[in-house]
This record gives sequence, structure tokens and C-alpha cells, in this order.
Amino acid sequence: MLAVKNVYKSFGGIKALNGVSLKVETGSIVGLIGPNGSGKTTLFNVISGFYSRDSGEIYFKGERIDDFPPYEIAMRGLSRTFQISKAPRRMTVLENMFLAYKEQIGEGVLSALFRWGQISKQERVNLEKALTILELTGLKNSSNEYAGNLSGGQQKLLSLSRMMVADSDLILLDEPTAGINLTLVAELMKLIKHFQVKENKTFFIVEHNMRVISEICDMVYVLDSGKNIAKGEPEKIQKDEKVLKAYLGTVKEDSREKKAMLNETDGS
Amino acid sequence: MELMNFLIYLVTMMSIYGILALGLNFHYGHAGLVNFGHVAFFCVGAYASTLVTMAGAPFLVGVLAALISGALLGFLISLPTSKLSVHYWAICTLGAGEIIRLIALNEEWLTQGAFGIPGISQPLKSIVPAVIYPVFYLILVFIFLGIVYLLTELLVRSPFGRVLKAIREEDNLPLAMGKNVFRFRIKALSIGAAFAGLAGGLYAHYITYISPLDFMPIVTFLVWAMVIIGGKGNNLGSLVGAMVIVIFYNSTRFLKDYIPISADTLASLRMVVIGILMILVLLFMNQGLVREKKRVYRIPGEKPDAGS
Repeated sequence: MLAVKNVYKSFGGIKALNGVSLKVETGSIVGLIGPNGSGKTTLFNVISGFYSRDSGEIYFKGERIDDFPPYEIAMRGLSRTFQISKAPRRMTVLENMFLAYKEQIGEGVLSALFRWGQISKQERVNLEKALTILELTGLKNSSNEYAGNLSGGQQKLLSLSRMMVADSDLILLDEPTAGINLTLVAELMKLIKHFQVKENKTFFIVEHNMRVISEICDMVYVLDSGKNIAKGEPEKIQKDEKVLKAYLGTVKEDSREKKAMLNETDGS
Repeated sequence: MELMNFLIYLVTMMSIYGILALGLNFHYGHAGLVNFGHVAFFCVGAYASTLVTMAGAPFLVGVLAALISGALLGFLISLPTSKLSVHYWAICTLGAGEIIRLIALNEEWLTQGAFGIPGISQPLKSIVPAVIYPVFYLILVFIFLGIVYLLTELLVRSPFGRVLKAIREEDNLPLAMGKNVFRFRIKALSIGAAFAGLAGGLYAHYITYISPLDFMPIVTFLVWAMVIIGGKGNNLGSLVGAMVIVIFYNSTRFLKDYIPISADTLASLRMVVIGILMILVLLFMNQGLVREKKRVYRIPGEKPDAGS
């Protein structure tokens, strides 16, 4: 589904991505972890076209997308969410949902003026689908509420709901459970799993919550200082020494003891 | 009779400014474009219609030329600026407004410079009796106002308008949803500019004399006051704003009979009055006189008046 090959990106002197390569298989849920500042969100921004890469290649469904603007990448079926909710605050939950549909007849000026019949037909279908998803994610009662009035958790649910009506094949979620209470985290995980199984969606998720990672991800990539340092199944990753090192800092080797041991062997 | 004529003048000006305000509201209220050069489109429309009718074209062609020239200028301005962020963009439009006025002032072969162009033709002047001509022209302006109002309402309620509403707040989300934000912005600017151009044409044929002095930056700021006082994001609000501002702007005419201040001072005072009005509205009704309406969808199985 997605292949990232040797991607570099730097901001001034900071090498945010230092030769990252990874693959996301169709129908899987892939996690991306790493300490703060390791380049996870930068990688998302590069994949979704918000930043241009310095070098490297990105393929989506076999097509090279690394030179496309974000809206074209989205139109090809790769959607993303943002770490901080960007939902237009002065638009209702339903209006937010409507935004996500692609190929809307009424988005051109002339058709907006003259093709009401077709527009209202399409809107009716879209409304129904949006309501089904909102029911599933538990936002239906807030349908006509301004998105700006939703709580942080509900905003995350709205982002996920929007992804579902967008009908994309690959969905990048940037910290979907950050700042959310545990009940809602469980709810979100269930939803992601549900959409993977029932709707055959592929997910690529940046996440700090290891519970989420180990429960829903099929495969995990670990970034540190803009480089892949490990990949594998969640259980394996949790025991990987390099990963522990990246998260917990360098394990100090007790040099004095070693020296002492060396001295002893020398002396005898 | 004199009062009657004055009232008709007021309502005509309200309607012309109403069209201008609908254009700016389309920019700012619906698409979030901070356009400080609105007068440029007004100016281009006025000159376009004037020149075209002077060359022999009928009124309707002139007005159409005004509309198209406004849209074209909007398109030209937005092409290089569509990727700028709000504040930079605002400065660009301010500059564009002045450039257009300076062109009108200096390209004398075309615009007769500072002298202005007098004797602009009026539609059906020879057929309609002079006594009722102001009413006739008012009705004409009303028709155009009605059309513009209808068009803006249609656009705002359509999926096109919905995308603009998202862009109004921020680019990244609509971009991630596959919307070509820049193209939407170019279209939005052109449409609002077309309305302003139309207003320019109607103004020129009403006053029958235009000069660069009619297109000072102050016009832009009057229209801004209309949109903000009326309520941004609400088309009806723009019309209410146009009414309020045109009334206040002309009120000093009568005050000079009652207040012992020189006419010049009074004329300057009207801007002070409008400024105070704006501050009051922003303090006590920060959504404007007519608030933006929330789009409420009926949800099956729920009471129809859920939410407000």
C-alpha cells in the first residue's frame, strides 16, 4: 500500500528524517513509535504532502506521490489526521463530516448554482452515511453542535469519523489517543479495529501509548533521530534493546568495573 | 418632494453599497479573505462600464463589462497571492486598491485623469419621464441587488460554500480532505470581486460622473464597517450594515442646521461616528447586528428543532 524509500528531510541544520524506509501492507495496522522529536510527525507530513522531502521516494498503491500537493494525495485515497484537532470550529459536526466527501458535485461554482437537483440528492446520500458513522462513533447526538464546542476526546472521535466518510484506503492517524481518558481509548481502539476488519482500511498510526500499539498493531516501526532503528511485531519491539535505549537513554556501561576486571586479569 | 428625492437617493446608495458589502462579505465573512482593497474592484467596474457605454454599448453590456472586469481583476490579484497567509494577503490587497486608483488618476488617455468622466449615460433616459427616473433607476438597482443576493445565498449554502467556510478558519484540514484550497480561494475572490465590479457600474450610471476621488481607500473601510456592523458571514447582515452606514454617513447633512459646527467639521465627524458605532457593536454584539446562522440538518428520529 505504502512504501517509503530512503527519505531525507532537514530543517536548517536539523536532520528530521535521516534516511527513513518503511512499508505499510494493505489491510494492516502499522504503528510508528519513537521518542519526542524523532521525526514521526515530520514523516507523516512528508508522506501526506504537507512538507516536501529533500530526497527519497514515496510510493502509494504503486504510484510515486512524493511530488504531489496534499490535496492530490488525499484524492488518491491517502488521508491523515492531525495531532491537534484542526476541525473548523465554526462548522457543525455534520458540516465537518460533509467536508470529507470527495467528488462532490456542488463544489464547482457553476454546478453549485445550477445543479441543485443532483446536489441535494448527493447530499441526502452523504448525510445518511455521515449519520451512520456518527452513530458508530457516538457523536450522533452532537451532530448539529459546532465542532469548536466539542471536548478534546470528541474532537479525536470526529477526526476518525471524518476519515471514515472520506473513504480513503490508507489512513494516517497522528496520536489518535493523546490526551484522552482510558475508556475512550478503548473505544477508539475498537473503532479502528472495526474499520480495519469491516471496511478493509489500512492504518498507519503514530502513538505513544504502548497499550494501544501492542493491542491493535500488526507491525511496529521505531524511529529515533530521524532513522529507523527497529521494526517488528509489537511484542518483539518492546524487548528490543535498541528501542529501550532510544526511549530510556544510553545504558551506562560500568566502565570502572570493567577496568577493574581487566586489571585483575593483567595482574594475575 | 425634496425629502422624497433624498430618500430615494439614500435607498439607491444603500442598495449599491449593499451589493459591494455582499461582495466583501463573500470574501471575508464566508471565505476568510481579509480584503483591504475592495474599492479596486468597485473602481474597475465603474470605469469599465463607463468606457464601454461611452463607446456606444448599451447599459446592460456596460454593467456586464463591470462585472467581468471586477472578476478578472480579482482573478489577477489572487493568482500570485493565493498562497500567502492572511496578513500578507491583506497588505497585498491594500496595495492593489491603491494601484488601481493611481492608474485611473494617471492614465489620462483612458480615464481623463483627475478631471474624471462626466456625462455618463443612463439607461432608458429618453423614454422614462424625468420625474420618476430616480424611482426607475432604484428599481433597476433593486433587481441587481436581488440577483446578487440570490447568487450569494445559493453559493454559500452549496458544497462550494461549505469548503470556503472551512478555508475561512484554516488551510490544513481542507487540504488533507483533498480540497485544492488555492483554487477555491481564487474563485472566492473573483466572485466577490465580480459583485463589487457590478456595484461600480451601477454607481457610475447613477451618479453619471466618476473621478479617482470616488475611489479612495475610505470606500473600502466603509464597506468593512458595513460587514462588521451588519454581521460577518450573514448576507442579510451585510444589507442591514449597508443601511446603517449609509444613513449615518448622510446624517450630518441635516445636523448642520441644528448644531453650530462648520459643515467641514461635521463631514469629518461622520467618520468618528462610524468608528464609535463599530466599537460599540464589537463590544456589545461582537457577531454584528445579524448573527451568522448555524446550518442545522434534520436528523431522522429526532425532534426537528434540536439545537439552535
